[in-house]
Amino acid sequence: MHRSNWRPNWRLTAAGLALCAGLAATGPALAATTSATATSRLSTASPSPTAHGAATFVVGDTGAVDGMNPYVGQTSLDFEVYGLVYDNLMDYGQLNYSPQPRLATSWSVSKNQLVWTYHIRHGVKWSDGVPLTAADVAYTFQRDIQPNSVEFSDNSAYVENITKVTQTGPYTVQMTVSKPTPNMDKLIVPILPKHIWEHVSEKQVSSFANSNPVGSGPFIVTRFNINQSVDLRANPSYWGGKPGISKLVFQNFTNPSAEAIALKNGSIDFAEGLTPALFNSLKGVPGVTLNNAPSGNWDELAFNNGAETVNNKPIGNGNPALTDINVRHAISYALNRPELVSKVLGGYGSPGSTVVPPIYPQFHYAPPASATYAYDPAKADQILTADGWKMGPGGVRVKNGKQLSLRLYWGSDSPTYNADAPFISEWLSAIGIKVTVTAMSDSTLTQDIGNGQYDMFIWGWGVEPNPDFQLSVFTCAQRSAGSPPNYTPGWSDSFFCDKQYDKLYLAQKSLDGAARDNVVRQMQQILYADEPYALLTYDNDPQAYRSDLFTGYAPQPDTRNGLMLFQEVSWWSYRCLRPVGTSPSLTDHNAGCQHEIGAPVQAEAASTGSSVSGAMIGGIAAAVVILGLAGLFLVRRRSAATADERE
Amino acid sequence: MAGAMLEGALAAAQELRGEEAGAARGGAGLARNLGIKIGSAIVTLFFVLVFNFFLFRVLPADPARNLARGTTLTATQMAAINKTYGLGLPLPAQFWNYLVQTFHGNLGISFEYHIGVSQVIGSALWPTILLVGTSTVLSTVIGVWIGIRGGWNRGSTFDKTSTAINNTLYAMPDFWLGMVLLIVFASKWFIFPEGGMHSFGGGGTGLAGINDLLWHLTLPCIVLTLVYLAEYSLVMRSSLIDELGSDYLLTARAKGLRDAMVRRRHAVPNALLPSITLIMLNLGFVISGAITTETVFSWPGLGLLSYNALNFPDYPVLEGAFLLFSAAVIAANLIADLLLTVLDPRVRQA
Repeated sequence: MHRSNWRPNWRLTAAGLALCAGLAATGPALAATTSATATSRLSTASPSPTAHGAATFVVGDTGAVDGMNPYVGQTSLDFEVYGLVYDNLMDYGQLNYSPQPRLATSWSVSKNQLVWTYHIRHGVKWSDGVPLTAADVAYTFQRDIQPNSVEFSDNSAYVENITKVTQTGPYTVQMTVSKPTPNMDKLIVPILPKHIWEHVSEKQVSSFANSNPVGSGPFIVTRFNINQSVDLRANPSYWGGKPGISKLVFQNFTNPSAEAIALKNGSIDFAEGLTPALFNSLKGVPGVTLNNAPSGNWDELAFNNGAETVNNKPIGNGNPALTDINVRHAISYALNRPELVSKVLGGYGSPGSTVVPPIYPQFHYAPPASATYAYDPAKADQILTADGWKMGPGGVRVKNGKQLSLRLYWGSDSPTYNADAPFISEWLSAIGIKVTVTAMSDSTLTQDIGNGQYDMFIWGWGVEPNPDFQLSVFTCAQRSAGSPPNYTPGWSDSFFCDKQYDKLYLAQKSLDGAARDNVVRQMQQILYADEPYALLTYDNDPQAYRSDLFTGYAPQPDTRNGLMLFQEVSWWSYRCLRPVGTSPSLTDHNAGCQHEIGAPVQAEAASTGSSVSGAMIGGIAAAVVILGLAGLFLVRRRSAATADERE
Repeated sequence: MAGAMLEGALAAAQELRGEEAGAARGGAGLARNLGIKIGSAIVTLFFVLVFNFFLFRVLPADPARNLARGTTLTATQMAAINKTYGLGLPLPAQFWNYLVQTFHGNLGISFEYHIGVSQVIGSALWPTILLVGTSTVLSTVIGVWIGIRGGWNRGSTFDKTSTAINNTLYAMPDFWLGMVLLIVFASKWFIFPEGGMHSFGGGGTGLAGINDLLWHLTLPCIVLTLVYLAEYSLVMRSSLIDELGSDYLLTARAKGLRDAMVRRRHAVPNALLPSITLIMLNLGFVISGAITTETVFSWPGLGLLSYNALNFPDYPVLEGAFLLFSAAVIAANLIADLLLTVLDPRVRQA
């Protein structure tokens, strides 16, 4: 037919190609220059400031930062940033969570345990140069204790008992509490500059962007882009000495695979939020260290233990079978927790038991082996049969003409719960319980729980070093309030209510030390015996990082597999991280970590360190050797590969 | 499947042209024609506004409760939040507020970011326009060119190869192609970045900054260009083939015009009309971003923003984003209508 003729349509061709060339041609050319910079981060052992700057530490995370206003932030990354921009009065210690001085250098309490005096550090400056005094501290807490305010609701766990805050000197603050409150030595509340925040009224606070936060912390925000990154620079005049890294970046990855690739390439230095599969894929990558760190998080199968409001008025439509402790125990025996750990968590976790996780050994109650609900479907069958539930048609148990049929809900956002659900439903079917499953949005689930319209659901909690809040979740006062059709949910999502438990909860508030530890253990024992929840798993936080570029991590708790970053309400490593090959200055250490990996073990660390068993050390040593060999092998392969590429 | 969809698009385009002709029948002037079109666009936009408002009010879940997620709140505090965000008012009053505020350009305060919705959307608008806009221009130009070349020389090796490749690309999910490119060009060989818009820690300023931006733009742009190129190419090819046997082409050749001239001056302008409709319709969707590609490449655009807002759920941002998306599609439709009036004499004169 028609023959093509190239000459006349050159214009169209050129137009198309020129546009395409804009990318296709410049791309590789650019890449050549840019990737050279990127790889140089890996090849230079000594920190020479390149285009990126060797002392720029990049943290990749699958979560994002919502904003810079500490009163309204909600994501874990938000709090990671606030703890670096602002100082608290004190910190949970790196070694054993004991309170350590930060802005407050010391504190004392009156004989009647009701008046606390705090001595504020001298010579501290806000990042805009204004001196920080007791006035700022008093202002912050005065703001936080206004009833019914956004500020109060954000910090209520710390400030609920404070009735009066007064500045008694340029560097002293006094706080009065309504009843003895030993936790006044753990006030993890960001101290805000009065000269900035006094211009933000209570009305404006929930929509205040705080785009250039003025803080006193070790880092200063230089840029915040929604869904992209938060860039920070070291505070050169930080009272504890300038941090060892000059720039810190929190980079958002919406694609976790890309995050793993970025760590492998050395584009980022730390990867948070990787799935087990991606975490495993980084095994043996030279320069990358994998840390399977136990965390404060756990997941549970919660039961409707007979939903009632705070006024003991029954609500909702929960199956009454679950108010029977035998049914709850039977379900618990039917759960194969080790299987959930290996199949759902990919091995990154451990079977769950009591509500204060084992990373807080001071508080954790470990039930004796004889009393644990180990996987035993035969025993579950036996309990149900003894309880009068006879096997009926279709393999569903029946009692008094009613089928044992339960609804199982979970939030569809969580890949973990999505994976847990089929296992649980299968195990319960096996012992004659009919399970109807529904995945829904978190907000719908919250409302259904608040209204008592559920039987069982899968969800989880993250427990802070001070377990007070977690324990409060199971008190009678946390049950729903209000009136139909939509009740106001409290924190209780099991509707557990036990007078003895409530008594102990109040008691532990005014106790300290070993006496409190005992009461906290007793409370867990009550919960474990009664099982308003069947804990499924304690979750680990798989953290992967480049150990060939930066050093100085200060894990919390202080073990080889402690949390490196994203510690439980703590920020130890950031102040001490530094490029490999540089030595820490003394001041860094005073302000920063108490003990970093690789540094000589201090006297206090020895006691915590000894909890690491010999077998574990052996295992780690073996792993290091194997990793080292694997690394060597890969380096050799890699260098061969790059030689090929050069040709 | 793809063929059926294309035919559908073509039929729609033809129908559109038919309607234009109908509207203009009776000798109505161009001005009146324009007036009707602009007027109907405004009415459509208003309906979108109404629908938008009520859609988000029938969704389950208590917004105030979501707002307070992560904090302990008493009933009094909940009431305070309801008051701050105007959630406690009766529905008609809320609707009136919403209309007044929207016309003042105030789209409310984001539940998630606690800043103005227009600010949130504004920050994601530029990345989206850059990525989806560039790739739309590229896929249009390249696609139409391939379509012309293939259609004019139907059955040639070029035509056969390009049609086969086009069908493959058309069937390819963009997130899959994106992951493949990432694995090859960011992992196997570290030539392109793993995601984001700038190098981590800032991509520099001035020319270096632009270089850095283009470097980050390359992979996601290639993905979107390849995936959408096929659509334009196939539409252009088939509409050109429709024109091949036309009498006017025979006349043109009889006049002694060179083959290329016949194609450029006579065939292509006529065959281009369905493509223009398609291009304009797709331009309307540029704004709504490309959720999957933006997710694969951590590109902070509007697609990603609306996906996050849906998960939160951040109703004010969703409302604002939907309004913007609808307005963009309506505007693109209007422009397509007007452009066809100018380009197609049949529409103009009826």
